[in-house]
Amino acid sequence: VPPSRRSVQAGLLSCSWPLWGLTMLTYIIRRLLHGVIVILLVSFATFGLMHLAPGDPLDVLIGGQDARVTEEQIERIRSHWGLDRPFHEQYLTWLTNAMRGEFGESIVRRGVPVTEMVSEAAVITVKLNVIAVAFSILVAIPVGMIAALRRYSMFDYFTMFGATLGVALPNFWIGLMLIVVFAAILGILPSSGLDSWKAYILPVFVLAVEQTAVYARLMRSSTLEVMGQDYVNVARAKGLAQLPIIVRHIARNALLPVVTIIGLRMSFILSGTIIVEQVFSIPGLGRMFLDSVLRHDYQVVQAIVFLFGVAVVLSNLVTDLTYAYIDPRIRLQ
Amino acid sequence: MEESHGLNRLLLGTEMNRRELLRRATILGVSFPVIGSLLAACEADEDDDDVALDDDADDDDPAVEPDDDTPDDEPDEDDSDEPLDEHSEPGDDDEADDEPDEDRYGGTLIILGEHELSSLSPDDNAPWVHSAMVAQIFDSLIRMDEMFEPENELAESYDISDDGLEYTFQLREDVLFQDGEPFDSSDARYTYEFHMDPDNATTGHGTVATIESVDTPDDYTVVLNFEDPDASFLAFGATFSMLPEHYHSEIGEDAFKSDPLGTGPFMVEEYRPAEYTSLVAFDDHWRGRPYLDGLRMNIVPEGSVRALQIQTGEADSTVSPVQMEDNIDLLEDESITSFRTTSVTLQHVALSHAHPPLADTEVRQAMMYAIDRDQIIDDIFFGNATKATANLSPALDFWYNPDVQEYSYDPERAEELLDEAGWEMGDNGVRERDGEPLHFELTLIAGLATTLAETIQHYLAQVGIDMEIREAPISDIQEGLREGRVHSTSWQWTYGGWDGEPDSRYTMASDAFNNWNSWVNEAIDELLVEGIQQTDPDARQEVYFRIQEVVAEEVPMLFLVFPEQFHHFTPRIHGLPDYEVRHGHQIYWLAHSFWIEE
Repeated sequence: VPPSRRSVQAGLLSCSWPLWGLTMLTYIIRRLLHGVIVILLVSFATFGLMHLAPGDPLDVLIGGQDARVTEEQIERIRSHWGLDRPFHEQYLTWLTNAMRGEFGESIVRRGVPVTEMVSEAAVITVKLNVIAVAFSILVAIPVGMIAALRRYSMFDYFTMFGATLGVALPNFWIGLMLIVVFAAILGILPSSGLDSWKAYILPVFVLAVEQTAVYARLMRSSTLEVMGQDYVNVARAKGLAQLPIIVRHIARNALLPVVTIIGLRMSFILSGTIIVEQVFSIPGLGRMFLDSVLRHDYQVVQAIVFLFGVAVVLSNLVTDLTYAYIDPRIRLQ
Repeated sequence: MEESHGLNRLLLGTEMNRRELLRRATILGVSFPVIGSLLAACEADEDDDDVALDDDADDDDPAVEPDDDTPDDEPDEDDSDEPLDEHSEPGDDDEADDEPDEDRYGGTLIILGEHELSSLSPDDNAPWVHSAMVAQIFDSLIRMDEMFEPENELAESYDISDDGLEYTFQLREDVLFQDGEPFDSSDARYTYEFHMDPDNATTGHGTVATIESVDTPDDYTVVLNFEDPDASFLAFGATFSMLPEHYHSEIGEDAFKSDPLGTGPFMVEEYRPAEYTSLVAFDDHWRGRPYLDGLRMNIVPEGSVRALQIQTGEADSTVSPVQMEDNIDLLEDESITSFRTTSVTLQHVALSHAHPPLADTEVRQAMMYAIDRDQIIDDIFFGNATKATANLSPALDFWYNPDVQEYSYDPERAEELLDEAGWEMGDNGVRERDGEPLHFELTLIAGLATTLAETIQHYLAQVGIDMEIREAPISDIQEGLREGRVHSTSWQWTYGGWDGEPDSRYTMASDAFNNWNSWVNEAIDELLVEGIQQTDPDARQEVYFRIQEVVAEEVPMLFLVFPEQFHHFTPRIHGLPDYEVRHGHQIYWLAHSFWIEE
């Protein structure tokens, strides 16, 4: 929302929920239908790309050092797994099954249901990311606001320098350095796995670093912007105390762009977790995705992409709804 | 000093200090985790590239620092470790050792693997991560031990008929499966017949394809009848893990992959493929209960984290390789027991003879002369590699033929050969013949570092051969080589020598699926068949000596080096071999006699 269009009224929460509810319902349904189309397209594209890439799981599986296989054998195994059927047939079979919530069996982990594999890994990844996102929001928003309210203070300089570092340093490197310091030198935290709550500290921290930095910087700049608005001056002029001004007028408006970014960043989760799960040996979705892509385990890749497609569509929807809740003007449009 | 800097300068234009190299390596290192898991099937390629990344030529040559040709365990402890003596019967040893060693029992050995353990079935044979665990759960009739020697396991003795068509195995009578059922000849027959049935589409099928029938004259005798003699069977086929007929036939292979049952010293307690797999001691194992209470493999994809965990004692050993720099750190740590072995897998450049310039024997020979492999070993492998003379590794002392045509670094000889073959130097520094430039592409696995390839490129350019480096996904390279689309690649695998068996049909025969060089040589085809049909070891040796001579003369691929492999164990692990081991990975087969000092 361009600042010029922000009205003094914006801070006031006046709206008629029943009327809003009806339009909103059709809006949500329309969005969901769009989402289904998006997910279909995404699944088709992934399926196509995976199959266009030359080779198949068997090359990676048995093309190894101990290569005592014949072409005939490979063909047999291939047909055993339906890999010799035409592309569209494989895709349609997959799609019909996926509609029923069945994602088939892993080719690499022969016979293991993909749904089981993916949901097990998803629990881990979701847990890690929820903690990390919660952590970064809880840290970034107050830090960003305080940095803005005390602009050019030591606190501002210090935190914004930290935020720049957080954005600039690669996750991979931070992860390894933390392992060296906390696991190898100090020996107080484990370097891998998720066996205890202690094991969560390092991976969650690494996952959170970059987003915390991004949110904090964003919160700071949008707070600064809102602080200069007329309605804030009006609020001050009419004698409101500092705290209500900050909470009701500044924070509420400054949060808008941050909420958008948090929602959009849902789609970054997969790439972020790949690295963290790799470094900290966490058996989550990111690592499973990578392994499966490299080993051409189509079924697993498809299921994960599907899941992320759904997650991104839903999170965008939730973002928009949150947006509407925070900024009443959006509901009326 | 001057010499060791030479290559860096050539490659990078400037002299580079250690820190700069490390910095670059760290940046490049980001791509490793991404690639790691893919290399289940060709781990050694990672090994190579790890080596390539960790250039620290400014240091003293680390190869001379570690003194671990033999493990450096304190001798007084190792003297009592009889069970590991390869020549003695394992059963006897346990008894001999038991009395003074009651306190050896207990503890859990923690080993690390780099990628998901996708199955526990012996049929999904894949090196390192998988095979190290299958070795604990299952036994086979014969196993190829850490010295590449056949050792009786479930077979008490065996006999091969003179014509090589009949293998008779006498089985141990005291063997139980982990569910308490006895193991007998019907299980052995079931195992072979399961693999023989083409409908089961097992990966082991090719190995048993020449078996005609399996007889079980009594409960503890198995006779395998072959259509054609197969001298490689002892190493490849007699080593099949024995399946429990009563259980496997009931639950089927798919369920067996996550719920295996064998006769091995450890049985599965918990199987979490991407996280860890824990095994517990099998009390009624025929060798006697192992000293260890359990054995656990944790999956740690990141090589440097694996090395760190060994240094901190969080884990005891890693079955997957770590980067060369980490190997050197671990070698320098006096308390850690390290084994250094020469691998049987050849670091080579596969050359598709379907690409015309590469079909020219003189060109291939010239390339061998043009490449300074001593310098490559020093600068890229830090001295931890052995120059290859042909396709077989010197680690196989019986089969290795040292007297073949040699290729020392001799660029003049290379140029002579190319001149003789009619490849004349063009204006742009690239030779050509009949208007065709002496050019080929070397396709590397996308994302891997390229130091070795760039070094080769540099050497070849010196004699007028234009090698262009490209990148592609691994499966594209494999398929492309088979179809002749891809000209060459830098690769590491065996042309014979796996498990000490010199047979190289599967990568060298003209019609082999994995004959990536598209090398067609009738003499070799005949020799390969002869090598398989010949049952007399000395006569076989002759055949494989001859094959190595032909390979050395013809240079079907650029056989560069056999890199060394390292296996490290933390100080608390005892019962490790106290002699020089040839097949490093087989050390994990000995876990049944390891013990932990708490």
